[in-house]
Amino acid sequence: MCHVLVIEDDWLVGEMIADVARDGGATSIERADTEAQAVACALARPPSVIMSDVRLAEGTGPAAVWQIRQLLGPRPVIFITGTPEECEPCDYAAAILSKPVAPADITRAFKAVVPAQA
Amino acid sequence: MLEAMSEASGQIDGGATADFGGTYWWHGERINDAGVILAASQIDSADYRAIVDNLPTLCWIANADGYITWYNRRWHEYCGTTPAQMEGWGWQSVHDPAVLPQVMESWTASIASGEPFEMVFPLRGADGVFRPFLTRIIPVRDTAGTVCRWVGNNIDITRQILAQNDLRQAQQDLQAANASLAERQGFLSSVLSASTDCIKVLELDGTLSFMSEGGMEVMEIGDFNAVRGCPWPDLMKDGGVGLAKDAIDAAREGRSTVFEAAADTYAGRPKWWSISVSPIRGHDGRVERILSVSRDITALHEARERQDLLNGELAHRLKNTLSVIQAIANQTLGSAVNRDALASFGSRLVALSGAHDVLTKQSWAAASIADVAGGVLGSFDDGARILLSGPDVAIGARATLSLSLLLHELATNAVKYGALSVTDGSVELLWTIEHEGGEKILSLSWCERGGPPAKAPSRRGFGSRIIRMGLTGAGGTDIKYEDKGLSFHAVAPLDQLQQS
Repeated sequence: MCHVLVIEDDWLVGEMIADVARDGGATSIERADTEAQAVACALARPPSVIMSDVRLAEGTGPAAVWQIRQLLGPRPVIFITGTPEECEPCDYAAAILSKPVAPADITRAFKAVVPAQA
Repeated sequence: MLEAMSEASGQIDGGATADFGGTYWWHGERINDAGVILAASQIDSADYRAIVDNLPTLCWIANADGYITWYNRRWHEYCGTTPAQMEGWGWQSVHDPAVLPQVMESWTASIASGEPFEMVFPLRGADGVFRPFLTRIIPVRDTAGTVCRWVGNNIDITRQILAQNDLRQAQQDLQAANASLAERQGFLSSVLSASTDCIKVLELDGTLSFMSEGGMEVMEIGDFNAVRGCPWPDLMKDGGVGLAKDAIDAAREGRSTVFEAAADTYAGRPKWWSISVSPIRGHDGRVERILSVSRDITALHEARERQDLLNGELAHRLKNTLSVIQAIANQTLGSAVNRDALASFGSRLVALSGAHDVLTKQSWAAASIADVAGGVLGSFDDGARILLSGPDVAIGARATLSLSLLLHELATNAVKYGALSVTDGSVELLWTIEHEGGEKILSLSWCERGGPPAKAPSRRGFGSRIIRMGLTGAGGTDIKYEDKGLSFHAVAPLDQLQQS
């Protein structure tokens, strides 16, 4: 089982990331577009992998991920952002990808962290 | 022009005064070589004549009515006259006709009153030149107190007059110089106070010794004494302190520098300044003081910051838009086209975005070839296999986009089929500027080594076209598929690359 949380406030970009995750082996995907929603989603169903934007319509991706990790413990995180320099704190990130990013690069980063298929 | 009268030789007539040199006057008495005091009666008239003829002045004697009866020899030597010509009132012929009426008036007044006469007037010399003479005439009275003679004396004061004139001229020159200095000083200080720049003079140790009025106004300093002698760099904030110290060091070595720094006004208002620091040299060329001129560029600085912020925001939106385009393409074409085509589209979009990043840093004005190449090729290089080498050359925005796409295609192909598809392969990207008939040409070459033999593609797609169109979209490319690897060469006029 590989549940993925995609935190992205742009619907289309979120769809593409979700597609890549699905192709890469995600078994279930949940989408959140604000910091608060992301934390709520994660608490309701803890994700195996988080793929997050940095700037959000409300709050930021790193802030949401920090809370989730405080509450649920560490887990693989991939940031996909137009402002990698604002990705703070995220020294734990498995990858920080710069937008626009080729789907192949997302796939590569995702496959590197996705847990081995049961 | 005045000319001093020549000194007479002092020679004495022979004969009657032959023993003159052998006698002395002492306390009104005459003694001879043997020290014998001679009787007053023994002083003969030749002695007196020798004295008066050789007096170093012109002198004469007149009757009570002013009729001159005798002149000494010096008079005649100077005027070139004879006793016969001069007797009585003949002296008028050696006077300046313009001054004579005044002389006559004063002289006749003295004769009438019996009062001494004193006046400076010109007398014509034997050489025809008039020279100024100080003339004094005193009355000689008999025992009854009646004037019986006049004794006159004329002294050549040419040198004194010249000296006086020189002195007067020097005084006038000095006054004029003082006036012009004051005027110049007034002009300079009005220029200084009119400037809205803060103009300061620093001593060599960097302490303040002068600030212009306008400068005190912009720095909000009421009294210069509040900052006089303060180390100037201490007025700067943050990095400005070091920059100011460096500028002072440079000025001491005779160099001028310009820098920008933040500094609060004396009233605490934060400002940004463009500061020019230059040496002030003394007459011997050595640096004596330092000039510092600060211009308030706070408004410009704020505008620049706003511009940078706006550029950053715009760049972010552009990236998001490109991401959305990529997402739309994926969603739209995902099932309709093959995966490779979609991946190519995606990575070209990324290359374009990389070029935007480089351009955003320079406000879309220009980008250096090294930055562009580094940006595009960085993600392909898994361990210093792509060598970049070339001079620091800037190209325009459009050329930056073309070069990014071009290098992206070359690198993609190298990863798929060329030198970067094997672990030992490498790529060398070289660029140079060549001069061709006064025109500068950019020459760029991409050379793959250590990979499999290069083969021309069987099908020519969009990627091949991007490569063939070269640096400007107008061709100028040459591509060779050789056993040792692919090599690509492109040339374009630098002008064209920099304009576009």
